[in-house]
Amino acid sequence: MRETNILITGIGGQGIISASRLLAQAVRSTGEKVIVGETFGASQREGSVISNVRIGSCVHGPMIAPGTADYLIAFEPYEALRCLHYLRPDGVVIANAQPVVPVRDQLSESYPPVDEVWERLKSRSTAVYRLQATEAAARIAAKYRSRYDVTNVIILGGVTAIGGFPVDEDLLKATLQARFKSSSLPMNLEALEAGRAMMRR
Amino acid sequence: MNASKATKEEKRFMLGNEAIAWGAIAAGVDVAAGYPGTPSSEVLQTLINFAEEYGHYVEWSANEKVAVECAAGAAVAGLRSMAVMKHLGLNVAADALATLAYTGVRGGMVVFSAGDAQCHTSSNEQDARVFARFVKIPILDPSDPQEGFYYAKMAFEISEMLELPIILNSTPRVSHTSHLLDLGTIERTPRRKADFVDDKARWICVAALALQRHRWLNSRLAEVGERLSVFPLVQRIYTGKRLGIITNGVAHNYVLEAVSRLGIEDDVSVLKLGMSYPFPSETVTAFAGEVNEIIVIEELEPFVEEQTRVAVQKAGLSIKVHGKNEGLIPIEGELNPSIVSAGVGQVLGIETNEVTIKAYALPRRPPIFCPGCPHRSTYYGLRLAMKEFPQKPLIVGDIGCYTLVSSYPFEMLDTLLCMGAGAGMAHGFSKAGLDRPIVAIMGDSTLFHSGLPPLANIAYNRSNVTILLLDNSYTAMTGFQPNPGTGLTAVGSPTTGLSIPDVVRALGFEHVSVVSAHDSQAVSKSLAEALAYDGPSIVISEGPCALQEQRLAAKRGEVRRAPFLVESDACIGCRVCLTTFGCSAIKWDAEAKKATIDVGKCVGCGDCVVVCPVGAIIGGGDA
Repeated sequence: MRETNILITGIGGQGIISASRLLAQAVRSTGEKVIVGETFGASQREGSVISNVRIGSCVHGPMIAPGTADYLIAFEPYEALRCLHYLRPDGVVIANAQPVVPVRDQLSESYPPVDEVWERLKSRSTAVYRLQATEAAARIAAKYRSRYDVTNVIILGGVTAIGGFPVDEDLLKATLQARFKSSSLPMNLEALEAGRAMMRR
Repeated sequence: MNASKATKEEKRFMLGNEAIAWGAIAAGVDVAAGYPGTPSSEVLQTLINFAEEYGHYVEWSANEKVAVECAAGAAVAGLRSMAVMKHLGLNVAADALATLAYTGVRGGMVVFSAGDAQCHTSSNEQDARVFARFVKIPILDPSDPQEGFYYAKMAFEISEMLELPIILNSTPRVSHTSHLLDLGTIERTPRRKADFVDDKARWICVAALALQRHRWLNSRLAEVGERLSVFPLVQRIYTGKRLGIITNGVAHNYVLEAVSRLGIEDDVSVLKLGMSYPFPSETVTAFAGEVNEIIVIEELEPFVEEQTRVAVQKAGLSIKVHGKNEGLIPIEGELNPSIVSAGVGQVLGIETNEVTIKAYALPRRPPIFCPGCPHRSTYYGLRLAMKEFPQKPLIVGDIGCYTLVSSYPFEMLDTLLCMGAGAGMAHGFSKAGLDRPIVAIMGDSTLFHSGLPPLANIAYNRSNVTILLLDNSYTAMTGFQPNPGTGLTAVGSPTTGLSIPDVVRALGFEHVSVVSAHDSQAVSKSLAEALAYDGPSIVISEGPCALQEQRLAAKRGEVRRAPFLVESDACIGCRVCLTTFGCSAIKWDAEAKKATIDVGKCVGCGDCVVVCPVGAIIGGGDA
């Protein structure tokens, strides 16, 4: 009985809940059992958000135990560090490069320099991927003159490039096609491809 | 958080809260009423989304007590009804519920309560099961979304069979977990017709008649075990003898995972209880007779554990019952597979290899006011006003987005208790003779929920308190639900919103001022006058929730307002904008030693312009 645990984290408003639902939708179309456990509520207002995506016939509860996440997907590097203890020893980290430091902590040294974050991530995992997703999302939104932030689809696109990840490119593409109207589909497909392109570099 | 629309036919991937709402729809609920509160809100929102299609009546009530009374009226008239709230709402509704157990109901009535083990978004983590026993109402504890659906549906049938309301108990890990669910086809049922069956000895519950009803209630509760034997509320898994594990609610999932992680499938038997009150003593003692010892795994209070001890003692069994008693399972916070593995492992003498890597100690990232939030500007005004008083005013808090005045950069909150307690406690501080100016903060939804009695009390008993009422037109923190001040019903039909200035004047407030939340100078001036006034005073700061405004503007296809900018040459790097206003769209450029504005985040409210001492923030107009 093999289970796959994917912990998605970031800041309220970054599209973490949508990303986890998109991922779950993709997985369930393969017939696999999938459970999503979300922490939201007050965290919507730029607080920390965690979503647990658990796949496999043997999973029951929504909580990923510390040290058992196969994948840590972070929309913000400090949130990756905050959740690093969930990662299993040979787990994979994919994190957005763009740090977001709360106003209070911009004026003090309470947050370590972001370089130290990456060092710490690398000290726990030999597979750490750093994606410039925020910039790419701004570029894509400007191109399509859209209000929507596609950071989450870029990151999910990147994750599909990792061998062994439960959702591959075709599956994510099919899920986007099922999920989005024809007007916003091209933008999302471009976001997916942008994420994959970053992984090729 | 809006519940998503579900289609009717196929298997659906949905939240536990949506599943519970569908259970109610499948049971043919006629009337549903609730007050929002995380993690409960999506239940009523789902019922709202499908009200037209299925024909049930649904409302956001002024508070949970009103919601329960609405549901009680409908159920006494023979309809199926539901009241929806978070666990703390049970306290508000307690007066109604405790006596409703005596009268009972005719139609099925379900009270949904979403608890909050771990206090994710609540001020306590009280256990609804203990509450259920206190008010003598049976309680069902689903363990996951699929059971949420079945139990919700079943609860209506059980309620009608027992003629008692039923509490349906959830946790964040049931309410906010999504599963793929097979709900079958849910048809629209014809609405029941309300009628009132005259029975004064039953519906007028007081004195000797109430005593009679208490006897009726006790005899009815004693019959529950027998009457409910037809319902699948108990589950047995595995047949090992060494250790019997009794579980209830969400903890059941962690038990199943712990058993497989420890590889003890042959050593244990699991008994899962779907109803924790009235306690199924016979089922538990029969189970106890089959195993060598018992451990009870449940979240929060040792509710099942203590009742298990009583049951086995009564049955004359000398079996060891492990659990919270010995500290194997904590009372505080939510459980997870690691905690359960460690507890079960300890009883069986199995070394557990739970990973004990410590989380990196990064400062918490608390929620903050959104860019454009009217509260930020109001509190900036409050801080200006406070400077004028030699003694720092006491800020007595209340529940809502505006509670975030406790966070950086304001950090001005002195107390926080419960809904409505800001005004109530401020009155007490004043009557105690506290020698400081006293400000009670309150929101519009809180005013209608539980703010009216303390305001009437302040005005009537004349305390020297200033109320700062932040009216953003919605119950914003839980997802922009309407309240009696909004002017819209739950399903979006226009109705007459109550005028807050008229309401507070009618309650007896003589010193009333109304200001725009986005004019912090005016807020400050009005507050200074109100604080100087000898007697009860109120400042109403009006400005709709910025998130909701932006959503509505986007829907109307309006152009986004242009962001403001910091004129770099003019900025002197004093950081006042960051340390006194703290909008997340304003950032500190450590290299240039100047403030900048994130144009992606700025919503163009311009509230920060007055904050800059050198006028370096400029802009305005349409994008």
